[in-house]
Amino acid sequence: MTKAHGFATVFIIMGTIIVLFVVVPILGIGIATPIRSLIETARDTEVISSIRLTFISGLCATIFAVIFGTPLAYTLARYSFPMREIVESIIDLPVVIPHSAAGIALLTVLGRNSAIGHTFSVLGIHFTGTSIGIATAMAFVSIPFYVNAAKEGFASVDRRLEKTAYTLGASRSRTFFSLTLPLAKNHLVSGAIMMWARGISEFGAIVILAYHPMVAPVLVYERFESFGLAYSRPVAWLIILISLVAFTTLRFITRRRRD
Amino acid sequence: MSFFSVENLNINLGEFKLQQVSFDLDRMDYLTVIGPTGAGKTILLESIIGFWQPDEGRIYIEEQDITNEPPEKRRIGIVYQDYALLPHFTVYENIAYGLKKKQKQGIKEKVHEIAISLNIDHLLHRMPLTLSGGEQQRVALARALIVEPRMLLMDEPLSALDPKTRRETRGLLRHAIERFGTTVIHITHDMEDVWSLANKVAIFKDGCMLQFGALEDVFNRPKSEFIAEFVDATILKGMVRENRDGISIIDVNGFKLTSLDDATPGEKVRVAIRPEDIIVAREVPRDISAHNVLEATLEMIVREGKTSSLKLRVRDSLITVLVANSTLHRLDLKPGDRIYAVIKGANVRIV
Repeated sequence: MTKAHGFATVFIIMGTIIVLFVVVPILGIGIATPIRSLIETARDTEVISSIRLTFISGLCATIFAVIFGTPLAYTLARYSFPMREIVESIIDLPVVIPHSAAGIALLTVLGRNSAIGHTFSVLGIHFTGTSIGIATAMAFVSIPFYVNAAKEGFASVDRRLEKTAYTLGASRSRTFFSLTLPLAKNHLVSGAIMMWARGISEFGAIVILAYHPMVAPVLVYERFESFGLAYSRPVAWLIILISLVAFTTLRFITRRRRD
Repeated sequence: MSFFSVENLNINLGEFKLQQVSFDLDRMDYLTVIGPTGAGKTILLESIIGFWQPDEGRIYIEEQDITNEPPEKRRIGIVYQDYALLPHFTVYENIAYGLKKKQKQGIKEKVHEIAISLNIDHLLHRMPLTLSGGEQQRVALARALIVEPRMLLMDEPLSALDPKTRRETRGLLRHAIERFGTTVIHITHDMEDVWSLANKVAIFKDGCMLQFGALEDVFNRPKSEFIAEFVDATILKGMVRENRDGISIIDVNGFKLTSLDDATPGEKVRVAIRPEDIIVAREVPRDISAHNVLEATLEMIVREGKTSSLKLRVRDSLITVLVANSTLHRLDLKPGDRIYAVIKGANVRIV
């Protein structure tokens, strides 16, 4: 065996270990779950409504991030200003702090007894034990995925295209919407999908801010705590399957559009 | 007041800067800006466009101070070396991009008209990335000219093209600029661009404008050795020995040069001679009008396309001469040959 072959073989073996590390638990839960239990679970209204709540809350969190995070991402990509790096670090914070701690932090500032929470409750908006709270927790932990992808997308658009558009008389907003945004679109869509995927898988922050109504990850935990592994497994498998299908479909659609 | 003025422009961007740049252009002037990489040429263009705010200085066009105007209000177009075409729009949409807000009617006719003049009318439905470099540059030019800018700035617009396409595009460029009567500032490294397009030249180095003026002035009378080298001229240092009715006899390292320029005896001067202003001969030419016949040794021959650059040694000085390759064959010139350089007094310019 030549040195080159040996090198390639070692890399293939190491790569395979990583792939198996991810695939085996997913396949394992699938093999261990009888089809009959899966079908029964799929008919369970509590399971279905919790999956629906999860997906819709994730979507709301993503829409919030797209609306408010896009201008921030553009600003970070295009302008240098004092403390820009600090702002970038702040955006990355949710990735590094434990999500249970994030939940405690959110509860502290959005709980009924807090000033912000109280102000919102006067307007009829409550964060604890509501779907708004769930979407808020999802947005908090997953927003870096969108903002960073969007920032990378805007940075990838050649600045001279924008400069040329200005010289042709195009306003800042026309240049942004007709040129920068379409050219950065793939990054934005990809970031939104990643954010949504990360949001729907959130457990730690949500369980503290809103145990009820139950999102899918909390439901799995609740079934496991109350009834054990065998009873929670079909729910977990169903959620994994639906998430995989949704995620793969979205990826496939965006990739086809890109091609 | 001139059509366009830059007054004492100072910009410091850290790595790149401009220092005390001032010049004026008349309407329909074609200025080529030359200089080594990092000289500040692109910053000059981008500050005229409005992308960099000067630390000091003013910019005027048609007597209007545009120093603080945003780029979209200046009506000054730009064409970049890599075309900067909008990749998600067709050629037609690219060309019409600047027209959309201004006028709803007549866009189609205008786009077709300019596309025909730049020979890209058959490409209007194509996407930019499917075009060749020359085609893309013509689209960029059409897009910039169709909005009838008050001025057009070009940052090495032809340098990414192969020589044949560059020649063709240069011809189309000249035709289009003349047709629109546009005032142009054009950054280039290619002397062909300078000779065939410009009437004015500016030379930049380290953020400073070393010389600015009419094409012939700058090329015939470079102000420094750096500029002389840049514009391929030879600069010789000497001392004026005599002045006979305004004709100066200059001693250069032991040989004499006659110049029609006026200078005072005893004055230390530098003279500039352009390589294409020197004739070479095998034998001593007799009964000729030229004042200067120098015996020289041919040291080196560098072929450059249809012409060759000869390095002649006269005493301790090196003089560059440009000859056609056919001359090289006709005179059977080889390094080491003793030959004669003939220079008219009018072409020995005191700078």
